[in-house]
Amino acid sequence: MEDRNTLVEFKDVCKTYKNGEIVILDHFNFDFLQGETHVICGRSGAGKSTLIRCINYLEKIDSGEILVEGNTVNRHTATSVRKRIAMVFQNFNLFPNMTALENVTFGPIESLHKSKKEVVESGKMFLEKVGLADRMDSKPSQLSGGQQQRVAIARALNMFPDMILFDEPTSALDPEMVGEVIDIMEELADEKRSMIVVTHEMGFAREAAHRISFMENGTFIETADPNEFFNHPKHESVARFIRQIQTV
Amino acid sequence: MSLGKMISFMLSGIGITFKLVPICIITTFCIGMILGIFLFRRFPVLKQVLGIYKVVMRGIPAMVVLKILYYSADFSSAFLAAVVSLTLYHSAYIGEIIRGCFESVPKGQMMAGQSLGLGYWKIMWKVYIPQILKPMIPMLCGQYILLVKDTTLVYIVGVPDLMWKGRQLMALTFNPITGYLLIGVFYYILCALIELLARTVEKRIVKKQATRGLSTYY
Repeated sequence: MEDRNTLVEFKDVCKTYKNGEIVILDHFNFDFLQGETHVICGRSGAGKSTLIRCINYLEKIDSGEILVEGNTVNRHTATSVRKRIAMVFQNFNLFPNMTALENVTFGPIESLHKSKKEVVESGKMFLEKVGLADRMDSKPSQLSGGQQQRVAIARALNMFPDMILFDEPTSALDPEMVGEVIDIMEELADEKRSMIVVTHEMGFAREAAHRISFMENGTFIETADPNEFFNHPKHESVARFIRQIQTV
Repeated sequence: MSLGKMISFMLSGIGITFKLVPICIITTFCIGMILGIFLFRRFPVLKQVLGIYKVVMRGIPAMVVLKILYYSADFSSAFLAAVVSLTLYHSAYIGEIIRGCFESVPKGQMMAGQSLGLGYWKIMWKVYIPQILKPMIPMLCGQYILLVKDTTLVYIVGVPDLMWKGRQLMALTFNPITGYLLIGVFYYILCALIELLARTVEKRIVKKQATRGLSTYY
């Protein structure tokens, strides 16, 4: 693999819930790289979602430091970090009072203060990219789950972010709609966009990921490229997880 | 006294009621909206202070609030005392209604707004408020109907409203049944008007939101 720059750096990060009863991140150190599709997998409740929410300060960390492009993420820098790091949620979280196109243009206009003309143009381009050119004026309630998630991806892309965080983007979808979302994510991975993807879609991980990490006990117990990860896992619990996934 | 004369006598007090109701609707809406936002946001100390205000106002009768304020504060007119006490009293309810509406918006909406780099107030203004307008109307309508009925209390501090005139009429005619029936009919019409207004506003919001989002850019 060619040398890549570090985009997001975790330095000795700790995060707990309920006054330390539940440990999510335990002195966690890791570098997420530019232009890389990094898949995080692990069992439910392992803290995968919390981990990526810490990057754009939707969750606060207890101690340690997170650096995005060399800048510490904290209360004061949260907004500027969020303008550069987009997020796609499990439940889409589209704004129901706006059309697809308005959803896609809302962020860049209101938060990046770009010109409407420019934003609408790029918004239409991204909606076209996700295959929804004909649904621009539809409200989220008129769209299927898969279509809504594709709008959410277009919304993230229209921020022209340095990185996109995917928080289980296909978990809330009906099985027949998973494919259409995964296809777009694979396309984005091919374009060498920086992505961190929390997912249970092992097919996507195998095809598109540059690196895969397995999260357990507040840290990544294994990080490897897809071939290593699936064929020669070092940890027994990773091997067991892969066996379980494959038998499903 | 003929019925026509009785009606025209009572209508001389309707001006005050027609002034009191819209003023109180506007003041309670403004204060209730601010209150609702702050109750929803849960600012550390403010939350406790507003919580106490809410509990007190919801725990004592409107008439008692009116009397306490009227006798304790030095208002320039009884009408002002009535406006202030009805506003204070009903804002607590309106604030709670609006807080409830904000709570009913999924949490993900706030996260989605934040993840786009938007500030709290912009998310409230552009994402939350357009979403609560429709569910808010029927609840506010119910509260405003109660407000209209509570304006019948202001005669006790000497505001010459519809109720005041009605009671004068009874003193003149020694006929409380006709007097109260007339008052009942007047207030019924007033409340029906409020309900009609609410329904019209609701329909307009639905229509506007269906054709195009409330936040439209082009």
